[in-house]
Amino acid sequence: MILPQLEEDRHGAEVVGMFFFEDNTFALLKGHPLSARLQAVAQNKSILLMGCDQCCYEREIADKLIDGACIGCFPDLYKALSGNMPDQVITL
Amino acid sequence: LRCGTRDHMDAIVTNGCCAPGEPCGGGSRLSVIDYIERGLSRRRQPLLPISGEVRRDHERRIAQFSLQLEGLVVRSISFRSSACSTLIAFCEALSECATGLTLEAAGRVRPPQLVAALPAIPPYKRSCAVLAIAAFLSAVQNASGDL
Repeated sequence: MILPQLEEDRHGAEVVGMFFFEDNTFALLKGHPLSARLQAVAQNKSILLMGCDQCCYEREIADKLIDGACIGCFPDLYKALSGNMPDQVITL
Repeated sequence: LRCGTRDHMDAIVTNGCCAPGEPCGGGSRLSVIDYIERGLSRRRQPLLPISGEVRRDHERRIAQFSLQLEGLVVRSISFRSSACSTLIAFCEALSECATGLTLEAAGRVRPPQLVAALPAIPPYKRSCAVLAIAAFLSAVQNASGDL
């Protein structure tokens, strides 16, 4: 429900980044039903979109992600968020 | 086109895969995850007799290569690296491509060749190739000095 809430601007918390693992990385793939919506929300709200690099390599989608999404590992994630560190981390 | 020769490496760089029927299992495109999986295995192997310096990049990643020579030819390659999938893939691709090269040929390998061998790696992750090459050339340099 996070994505619809963000789209409706009523999630209740400022989301600074979303990190995707395993098959969830497909949500960042160009052409995926969710990816365009994620891209729009991320652009509007300056949300970092990052997929686990090894997960993306394994699925051969590392070079097929939507514009604005990137791949990386934890050091990349922490560095990317270092200017606006989250107060809470939610894992789904 | 023998596996591990300069021509073999050039073929990988040009085509992204080896020629069908080659001893390295050519004919199928070499994916990044294939290199990662083989690289994870190789980086657990012990260092070989001739080691290069440990090289670091601005992200505090490290890489170190070691070589075993047979005359002037690089017969085996091993490496150590940080736990970074992209770096491991580049190190493994380099290990596979440079095995069988002469020291002279191995010393001419440069980052653009390695980057071209793994085109699926996004541009912003390709700096790992620079680290891999720097570490590899250090080992080649030490090997050349030992002759």
